[in-house]
Amino acid sequence: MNLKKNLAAKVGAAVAGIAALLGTWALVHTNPPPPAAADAPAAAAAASATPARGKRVAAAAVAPVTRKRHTRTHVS
Amino acid sequence: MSPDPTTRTFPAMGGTVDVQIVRGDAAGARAIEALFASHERAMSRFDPESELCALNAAAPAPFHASPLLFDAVSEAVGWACITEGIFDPTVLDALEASGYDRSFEQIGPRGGVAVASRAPAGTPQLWRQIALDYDHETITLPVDARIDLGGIGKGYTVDRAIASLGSHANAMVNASGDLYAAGDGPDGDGWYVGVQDPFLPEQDLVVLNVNDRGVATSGSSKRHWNIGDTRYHHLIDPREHASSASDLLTVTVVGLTATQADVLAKCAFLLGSAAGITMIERFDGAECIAVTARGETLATSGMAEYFA
Repeated sequence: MNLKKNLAAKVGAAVAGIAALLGTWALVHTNPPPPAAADAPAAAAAASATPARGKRVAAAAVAPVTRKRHTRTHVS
Repeated sequence: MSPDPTTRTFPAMGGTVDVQIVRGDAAGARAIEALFASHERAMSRFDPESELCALNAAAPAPFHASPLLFDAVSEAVGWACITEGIFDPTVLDALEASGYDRSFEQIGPRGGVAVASRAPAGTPQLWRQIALDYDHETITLPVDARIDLGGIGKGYTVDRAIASLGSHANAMVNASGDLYAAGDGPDGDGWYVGVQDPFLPEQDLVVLNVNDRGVATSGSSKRHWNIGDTRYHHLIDPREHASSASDLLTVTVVGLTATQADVLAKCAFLLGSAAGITMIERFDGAECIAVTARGETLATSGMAEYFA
């Protein structure tokens, strides 16, 4: 009984370890590395040259997911 | 089962006011209608008997104002200070010069008669010369300055209407698009506010879920008219003393009060997409969504929190 319990615990630990390794691998490969220090000034210059604007919003992002409405606002 | 709110709809301030009070009584809604009527009598520029018209006629002599008018003008001047004159309550001459010299229902799409504005572009901001005597509640306007409380007056009245219901009100007051939603709404999950799509007016661009917030929309798509081949609208750029040439079609602001939302929506519109949205980002508690004339939809960084 104890042997079976130990085996199950060891298999569980091994699976958890593999999952953690896969998670780390996915994080590293889906996020780009930070820009090199030498690139930073160029990036800052480009940002300041771009007019400050609001975040563009895709139609899908604002499409209502609810039919609920109590009132409307419109140009007055 | 949520209770149906007490509702009341009535005409005021050139549009329609919609009141919804959860677990409220009809007396509260009737009191709000009376409040709108009294504010309109005091602040209308289209009623020659209004107190505002008397104030404008008195310039440059000191005018002893009622507590209501004194407070409303103080708030308007305060917003002019905060926005460094982008919101300017003294652009009435330019507004009338562009043809908006009577209520919009009377103007129609052909517009009034455009005349030369008495205040050419570059004129020093006259609001800076308005003297407010808080001890005696007198207002002194400089020569040639006349005040218009059209937009801010609606937001101001909405805020006072909500305040009249007490600090724990669960209610919504919508004055032709300038609104405040107090409390958790009829179902306890907030108030749902559709924002009209300027390109498809029958549809909503987005639905906002708000509580204890003001919401207002500014834009040029409704109150506009043509004189000859020239198109005018009611949003006067105080830097040009003419209808704004903004690249925006509409701006909707969620703010801490209906007054703040109304003023900031107008200012963001006048500043245009780049500077306007940057300005809104500076105000705690204010967010906006804007639509450009080219059809782009832009928003401040925190606006998505209100998307339903």
